[in-house]
Amino acid sequence: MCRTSPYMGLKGEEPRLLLLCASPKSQYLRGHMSNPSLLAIADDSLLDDSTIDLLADIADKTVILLNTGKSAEQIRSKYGIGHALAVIDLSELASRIIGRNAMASVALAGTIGRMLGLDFNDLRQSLDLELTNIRVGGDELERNIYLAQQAFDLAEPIKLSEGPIQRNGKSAACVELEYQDPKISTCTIVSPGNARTRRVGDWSNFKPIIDLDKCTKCMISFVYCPDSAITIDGDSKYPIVDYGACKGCNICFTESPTKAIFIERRSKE
Amino acid sequence: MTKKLLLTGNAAIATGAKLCNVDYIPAYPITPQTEIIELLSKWINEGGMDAKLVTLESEHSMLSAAGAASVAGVRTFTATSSQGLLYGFEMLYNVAGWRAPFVMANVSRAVAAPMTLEPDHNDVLSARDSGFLQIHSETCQEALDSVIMAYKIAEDSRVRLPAIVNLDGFYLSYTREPVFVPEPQQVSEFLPEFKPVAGYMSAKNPMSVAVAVLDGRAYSYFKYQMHLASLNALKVHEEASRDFAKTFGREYNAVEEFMLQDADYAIVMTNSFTTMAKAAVNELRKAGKKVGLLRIRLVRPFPRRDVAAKLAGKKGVAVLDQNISIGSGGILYPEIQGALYHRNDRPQQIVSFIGGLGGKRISLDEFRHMLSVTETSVKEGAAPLHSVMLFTDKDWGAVKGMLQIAGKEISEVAS
Repeated sequence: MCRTSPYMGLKGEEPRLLLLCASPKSQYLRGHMSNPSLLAIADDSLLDDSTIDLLADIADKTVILLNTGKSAEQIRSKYGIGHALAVIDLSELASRIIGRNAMASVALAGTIGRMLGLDFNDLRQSLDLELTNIRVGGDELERNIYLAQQAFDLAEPIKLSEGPIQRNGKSAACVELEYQDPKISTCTIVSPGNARTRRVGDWSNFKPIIDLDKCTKCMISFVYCPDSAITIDGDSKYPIVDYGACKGCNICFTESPTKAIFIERRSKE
Repeated sequence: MTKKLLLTGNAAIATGAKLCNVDYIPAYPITPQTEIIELLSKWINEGGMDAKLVTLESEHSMLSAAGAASVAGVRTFTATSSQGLLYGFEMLYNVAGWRAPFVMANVSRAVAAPMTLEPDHNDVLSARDSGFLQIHSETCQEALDSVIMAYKIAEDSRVRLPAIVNLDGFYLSYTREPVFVPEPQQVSEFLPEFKPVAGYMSAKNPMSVAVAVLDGRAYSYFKYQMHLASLNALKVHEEASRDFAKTFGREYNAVEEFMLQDADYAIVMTNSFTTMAKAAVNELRKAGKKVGLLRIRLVRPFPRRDVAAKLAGKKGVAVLDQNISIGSGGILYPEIQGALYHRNDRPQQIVSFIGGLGGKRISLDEFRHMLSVTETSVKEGAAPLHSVMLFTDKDWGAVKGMLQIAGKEISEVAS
């Protein structure tokens, strides 16, 4: 029995959270999953997202797989993770094999497949089917399969915790909601500009760098940026990128008429 | 041989429509339904499916087109969700009144405002009085199978009403599960080609279908005929269920019971969150609680007799509505109460709960709370006057954080 439930992807194109239950018998699982054997996190920015709170409901024996450019030590100390943790830079691998805008999901499938002890040929068949279904074919399909194979080879099978899933953490108490004044209880936002509190820049894999030698101050990047992450400096009139707001869509890179913008992978800070 | 594939709920629904050899699909996109019409469109484009898919400019037009094609004797399929269903609302009553026996998938998504994309059932239940039959599914397999059953029941001349197959957004629509995909041959045996007999429009037999203004006598007659047709669907569903089990080996009754027979307490629910309740029932049983579950699958017509038969004799019943009628409470609660009232062996207390709104998770703790409130109600001989909302201190903590970001000055409002 196998159930997956991808949540809405933060980066739009691909699900960042995938729940997978692989078990010979029905587990009566639906939606949220507590105490998984393996928690595979497709992007390290998810760990900073309080609305998801990935680590809130895992067991002591949960093994964590994280796609990140950071080291295990960095992750452990930043998020206080004491669990078995495998870090692997699948985005880097994907961009190397597929190209700049590659998504890491195929690589993740390879790694998870290996960790769960699947046969690569079975995985290849599934990937073939899935990718063909979304009209990926020919050379592109081959490269995706190659990516999955590489990611598969990078990992090792793990021993999954067995037995009944233990409840972890304290239980929730039901509360009775009371009426509140409409100034609070209507769905309104009274503090404008709070979008700043959500650093969408953390979602991106790439960042645009402006080459001032080539820039003609044409302001096209400023106009095209869909997130208003590019402003124009009052004195110099050069564009400035706010990396906290830039989602790495690369539109400015594509549109710059003098190719004054180049793209770099986000540094592993 | 029957194939077993990992399908999303949306793919299961699309596969069901394909297997039913539908000829016409008027379509309009909406999250979380769009994948259904995308898949059908892809299959038609690739030559794997012989049907006509037309994108309309709104759900209102989409439903008009579906109704018109259907009364012309064309097997018609469409799909929508939430705001889309409501946008086409006027036509729900119309096409049902035309007695157009097509099938529509509704991928449940809570209705704005406030806005969300996740499921509850205010969308589909808003259509409960329209004349559409309603089958609510718990799994991707059931979603596929229900499409096939829905055509069988809707097209039966004892019924001839449109049908909605409901599946929860995200929890089914985007959730992959192993699904047995029947062979086309099997489906054709169960559901032969649609042969519209008397009462359908054709070029040879022109007729006026959407007849203009009637007086109250004629209106009453036609409306009540719809009601009788819908009630006939109780029996036709039973027959279809039996035939389906014979052909495919899976059986779906109007209501499904889980650990119910020896239970003192029962939880009543619909749709995919029932799976969470089944897990909770298993846990509560381990703790020695004699609790079971009743899932209502056929919501229209309402299987009053089955509901009463399964719940009679229980000490307490907890009805969990994943919907809210503002100013009244759970929508299905009074229907379940009504089904039981006349029986001497009715449960001592029937308690109304609301949970899972906007896709909010229902935790084991909340199921425990439901049981405990119901037990207390039985002990004290009185149930809470209004629906009890399932909401935890953790939920409130999260909402409080959001309210603070939105600039609200919060005092404690939960106790």
